[in-house]
Amino acid sequence: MAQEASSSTSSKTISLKTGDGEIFEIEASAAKQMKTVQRLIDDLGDDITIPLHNVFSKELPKIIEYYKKDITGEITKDFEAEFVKDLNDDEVKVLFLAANYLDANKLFEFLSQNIADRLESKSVEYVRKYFGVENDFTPEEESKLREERAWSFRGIKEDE
Amino acid sequence: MASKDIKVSNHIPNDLAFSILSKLPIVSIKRFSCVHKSWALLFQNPNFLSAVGKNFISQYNSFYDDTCLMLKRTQGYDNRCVFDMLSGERFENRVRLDLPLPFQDDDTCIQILGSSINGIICLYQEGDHSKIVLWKPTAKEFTIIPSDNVNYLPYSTTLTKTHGFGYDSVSDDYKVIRHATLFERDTDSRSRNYLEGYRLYISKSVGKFWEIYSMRSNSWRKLDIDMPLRINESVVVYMNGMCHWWGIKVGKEYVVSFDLSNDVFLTTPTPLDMCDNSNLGMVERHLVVLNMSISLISNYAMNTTFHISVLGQLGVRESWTKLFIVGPLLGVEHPIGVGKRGNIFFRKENYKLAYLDLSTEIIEEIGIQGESHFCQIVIYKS
Repeated sequence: MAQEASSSTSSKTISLKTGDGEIFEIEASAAKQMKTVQRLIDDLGDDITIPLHNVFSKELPKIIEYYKKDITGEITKDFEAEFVKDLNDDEVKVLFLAANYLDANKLFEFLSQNIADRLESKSVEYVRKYFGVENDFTPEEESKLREERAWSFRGIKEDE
Repeated sequence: MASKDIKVSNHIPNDLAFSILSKLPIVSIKRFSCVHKSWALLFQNPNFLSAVGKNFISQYNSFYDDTCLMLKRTQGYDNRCVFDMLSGERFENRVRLDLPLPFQDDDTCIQILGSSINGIICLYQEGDHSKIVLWKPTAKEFTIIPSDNVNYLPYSTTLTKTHGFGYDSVSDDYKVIRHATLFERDTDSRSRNYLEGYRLYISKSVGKFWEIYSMRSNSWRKLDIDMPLRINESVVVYMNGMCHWWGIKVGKEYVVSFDLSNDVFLTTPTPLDMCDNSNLGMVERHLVVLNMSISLISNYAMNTTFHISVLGQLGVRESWTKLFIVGPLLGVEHPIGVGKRGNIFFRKENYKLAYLDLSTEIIEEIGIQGESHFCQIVIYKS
């Protein structure tokens, strides 16, 4: 890892540029939690604006908000609940994919749990659409499997 | 599959999907096997199931807050019992408990039925099960449950077997379930020299029935019901208004689940994947509660590899899901109970007690010895 030549890490900020051209500032200690960003800093230096082609202006501020809380040790269950409260399933998915791209492990784990919680009672069709997966069972295979698993379909609305 | 969103792909790659799917509850995983063939395959993969298991046992459940463990050990050839309360991260705090009065003169072969409910533990003695005591160790209080019953015939002797202790929230009542068998009383004076139990086995059974004790009415009521009987002194558990035990009927084994609020019961046959096998031996099963779910720990006799399956839905045989295969565990005998976070306690061959942490699969000794085979560990919450 590149050594900081100047003053303490905590006071230094890094500039990040999203795929749609917007620039956001982040503290270097928060940037450390996003391994992709840290690798880019190691390669390009911490004085230039780091380009993040696959993260956009809608998501990055939210991610920065999360890690701002993380470096002060303030992430609680209440904060995390509040963090995702107003996001719909697709917005969480985009954040999840961005966290993966940035290799931001803590956020990634939290969001994967949140997505699992959201999908728990959903229908098979909804989950296919959500993951972008096409059904590869024949109608006979699928109905046989559904019958075997009938107990797991109780109380689930299939068209949701 | 192509997304209308030109900025970000709609598709979640498989390795990322794994992170989400391994955090789902078992019933959802079973349903989502229908999503795609690769998912159906993934959900049978032991690595995936192990990840599911680890997430499952680390799910937070407020029930386990402020709990400690009650350890019962038997000592000596006559199986005298001692009780200790264990607390602390590594169970380093130990408090010896004084037995309640009814057991102070006779402390042999005491068994704990189920686990604690509102700080109350149900104790009975092996053998005739006639002495049943509800004990609140933190308050040093106890209640003796009356054993005689108007349902018994005056000319018979009864043999009873306790099956469950629980709390019915609908009627705000503590209840005990037991099964009674009535025998003709042998009036031959010679036979009075024999042990009571032996005499009973050669006597004729004149009636059998289930009965339930209610603390509110302080009496036993006969149940018109036919359930599989508990296997020996196997573990009994209580959870959410239901008593569960490991039972046998006509040679087949089941988890029996009895609902205290309406006297209705369900049976769940054993999982299909492990059966008595001439090469591998008989299957030993231990009923436990792992993170608020009914589970079975199974092993082939004399084998220290443990297969742990969680029941996805009561009454549904197909919903048993094997989440862990752990072992061979060196020097371990058999499970004696489960703590929080899925810690499974074992007695080892060298008499030392230890627990297996399912999330790390590491065994740690707790620095206590259990002399005889009959140790029990239950979760205690006051």
